[in-house]
Amino acid sequence: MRNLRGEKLRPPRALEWILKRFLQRDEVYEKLGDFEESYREYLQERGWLAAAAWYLTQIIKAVPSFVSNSYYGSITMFRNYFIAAYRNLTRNKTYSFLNVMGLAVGIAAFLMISLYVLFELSYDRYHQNADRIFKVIAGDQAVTPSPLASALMDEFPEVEAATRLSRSFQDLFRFKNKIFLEDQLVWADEHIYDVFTFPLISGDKQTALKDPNSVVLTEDMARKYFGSENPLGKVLHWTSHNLEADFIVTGVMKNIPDNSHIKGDFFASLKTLTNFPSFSAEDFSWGNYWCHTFFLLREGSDHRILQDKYPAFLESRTGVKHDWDFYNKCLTDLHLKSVDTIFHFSSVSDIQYIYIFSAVAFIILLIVGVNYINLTTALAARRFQEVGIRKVVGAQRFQLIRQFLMESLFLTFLALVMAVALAYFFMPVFNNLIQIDQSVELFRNAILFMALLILGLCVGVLSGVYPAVFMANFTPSGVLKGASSTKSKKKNLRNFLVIVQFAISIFLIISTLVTSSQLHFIRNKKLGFSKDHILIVQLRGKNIMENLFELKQEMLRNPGVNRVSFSTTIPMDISWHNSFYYRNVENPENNHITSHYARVDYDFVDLFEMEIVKGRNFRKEIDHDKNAYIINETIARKIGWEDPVGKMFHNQGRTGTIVGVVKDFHNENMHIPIGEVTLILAPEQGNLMSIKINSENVPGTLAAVEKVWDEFSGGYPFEYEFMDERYDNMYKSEIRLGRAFNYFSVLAVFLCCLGLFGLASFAVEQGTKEIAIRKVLGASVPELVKMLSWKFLKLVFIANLIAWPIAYYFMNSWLQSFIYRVNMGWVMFFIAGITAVFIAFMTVFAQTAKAALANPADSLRYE
Amino acid sequence: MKLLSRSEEIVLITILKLKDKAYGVAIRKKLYEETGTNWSFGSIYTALNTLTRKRYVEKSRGEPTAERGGRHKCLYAVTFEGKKALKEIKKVQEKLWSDLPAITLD
Repeated sequence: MRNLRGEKLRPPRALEWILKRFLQRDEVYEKLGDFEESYREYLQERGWLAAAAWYLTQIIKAVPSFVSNSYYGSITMFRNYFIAAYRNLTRNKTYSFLNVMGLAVGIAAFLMISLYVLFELSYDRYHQNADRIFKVIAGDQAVTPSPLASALMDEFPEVEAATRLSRSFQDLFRFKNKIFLEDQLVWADEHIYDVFTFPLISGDKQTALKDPNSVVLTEDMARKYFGSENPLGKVLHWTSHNLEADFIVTGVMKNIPDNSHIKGDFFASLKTLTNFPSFSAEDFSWGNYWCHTFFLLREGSDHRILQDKYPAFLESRTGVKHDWDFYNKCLTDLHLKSVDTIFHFSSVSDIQYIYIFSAVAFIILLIVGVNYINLTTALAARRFQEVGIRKVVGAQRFQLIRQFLMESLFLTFLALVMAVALAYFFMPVFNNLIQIDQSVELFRNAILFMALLILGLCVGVLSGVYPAVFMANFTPSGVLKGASSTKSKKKNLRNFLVIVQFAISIFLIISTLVTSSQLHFIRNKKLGFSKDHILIVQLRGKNIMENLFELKQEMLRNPGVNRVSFSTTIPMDISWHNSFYYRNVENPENNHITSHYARVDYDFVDLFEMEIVKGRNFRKEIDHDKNAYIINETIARKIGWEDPVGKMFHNQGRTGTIVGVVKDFHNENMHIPIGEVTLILAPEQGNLMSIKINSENVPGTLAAVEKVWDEFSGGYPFEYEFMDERYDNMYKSEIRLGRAFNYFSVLAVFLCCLGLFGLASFAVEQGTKEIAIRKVLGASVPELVKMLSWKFLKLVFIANLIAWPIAYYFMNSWLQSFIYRVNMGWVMFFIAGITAVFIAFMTVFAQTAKAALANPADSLRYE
Repeated sequence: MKLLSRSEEIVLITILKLKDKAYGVAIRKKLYEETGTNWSFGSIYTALNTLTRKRYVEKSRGEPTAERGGRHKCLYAVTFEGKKALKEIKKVQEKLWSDLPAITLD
């Protein structure tokens, strides 16, 4: 139809179509009529263009009010969904509980793990120029000589600023009557504030640490010592063993965040140390490695190019060529990628964990998601009627999907709230597990909070979408016909998911077994030396070094001390190597061997109870032993000496006889094969003191030893380590991994069983009548239990078959990293399989037995 | 009793005035006459919707016409409750205004 001007009388179709979307369901046509009528009037008066424009603006203006209007309608519907969900929850209390609890536990575990992972990943990123801050590493040591920092600044234009830091422990600070023992004192020079971002609240960062005896403290410390007084200019008295000094507070800085590799409550000027007579010029020379050197690289420079200049630079400064390379490591890599170095500024972690923990977190989420899908689809049979009726009264498929999705979202968010509560309470337990310290600070972290909501949404939608589509596909006619028409297909999916879950659990159980047996192996393997009741003390200071002989005599006077030995290192940590020359008659070209070495004294071999297989130990009485060597079996074998005793070795200008062969011992960790080891007799050159003590009255002996130490130390604190603890520390990451596997596999198995329990009890409930009839017809209770359990156990058996090869593959590659390792026997797989089957059986047994024992009359009386 | 909002009040009075000819287009025109502004259908429907929900207005189906593309009209009529609500708001307003001395407005 057109008007006199030939214009169409009807509003444009497209606009009308859009308008129709916005209109509420009731009186759509009447309303469209209103619009058309007005449209025609405009058309008549002002023409087509104006009318269309009007129509369009009407649509736009209408949107907000239509939305708010339709909102009311949806609210009623949502309320209905809500009621349906609530009724459904309360009707199946056990299952709902299993469902929500499972989800909550899973999400809580996921939350805790991801908090940990995020925390670890965030280390040191708060510094403004974090990507340009580097640390200088010397070989495998994180410490460097003290002149390095200023030399870097002088020598290289690429270095914008460099600072040296050193940590101190056990410092006593006093202000008036307030005395506290602090262990977070850092000696630093003034450039620390140029390199790092440690904002000062008061004081001048350029000069704060410039002068000796100045200290900058954190706000917490300022409050602790000075309360509300202005700390600037106040004098803190400092004592550390026999050193003491007064410090002037020159600044207050913000507290250093937890995710910082550089930790400290006090930054004291490093120059102060030069004032103490116990610190010699030698301590500040190039030969003494004790400072952590950090520098800020100039923008646009490449730290690798800088690094290549180090060897020449160091040689020119020190006059010697170094056995080890100096190289740069980015600040942000220090925390997670430093397992190859020792003497860290503060404890470090390992990126391996981040990977493993993230994987585990997602596995756990997967398991609970599967639980949800399984239980919901299993329970769906109970909602046939509801879906049928909804469909009959006009619910469309998408509305039903929406309803069930909303339900799963509702449940997930319920679980989310519980998960946060759980995580909050279990965080200390978790921290203890993996030996870190952090807390759930959910509400202080908006991003995390949002992420959690999104996570809830994802879990809700992902695990809800299948059951939702599945239930929305019920046909009303199917409902009328009876509930069994679509059963077998969905059962297949459920079975598949149960298999996946158990395969994961079995995988984790096998991993637990393998890691723990390898750890057991490491801890109990014969090492070739003794590590029990041995104290390791780092020797420091000129005073001690000059009086080693007297120190030893004093130590031995104590009845608790059996032996004392000075050496450059201890048996399990002999990693430095050098070339040793010998005379080779047959092949004069091939005249040296690269061997690990340790400088030891006369007592070394006896103290560590090493076995001499040929020849003898070093002897004090024999004068020409002064230049003697002891080699291990590996060297003798490599060179091909039948009888090495009496042969000569030459190393660094020192020629001596080989007096004995020591039985091979583990000179490094189990990741590395036993290497060539040469023990060089050098009684005065050790920087480690090993003390073998009696197993009785250890505290008394420790106290006595410390007393002797203090007589000689010239103020250096007595820091010791038990050798067996240090040995365990070498495998700290493996031990932590083992422990994590332990707990996570228990959690995974628990969650799987939760799901299986739900499925089993539901299946039994559905089959009560079948069981009753079978019983009436003569089936025995064991037969029934067997029949019912087999349905589920079958799945666990299949899961075993899937998990075994996967576990074999992964654990084998982990074990490959050890040279000395256990064999992965079939026993481990068998044990894991049996455990899983047993736990699964116990889970379903209670349900099946109950069903099998029930009186058939009870279940059949209404038929 | 909750008071009517201003737009609800205006729409309700308009329907009352239109008697049995109150449908979308007519209401909009009348509103233009009364208030001097062009109301969007959206805001009219919103008001009508709330009024319907509050049962101040009831709907019935009118005859279809050609201008409407052959569609029915939706006719609105004020219910007894609607009239009561109008009386209520009138009372409140009169009371409000009566207390106000004329000078304060100047």
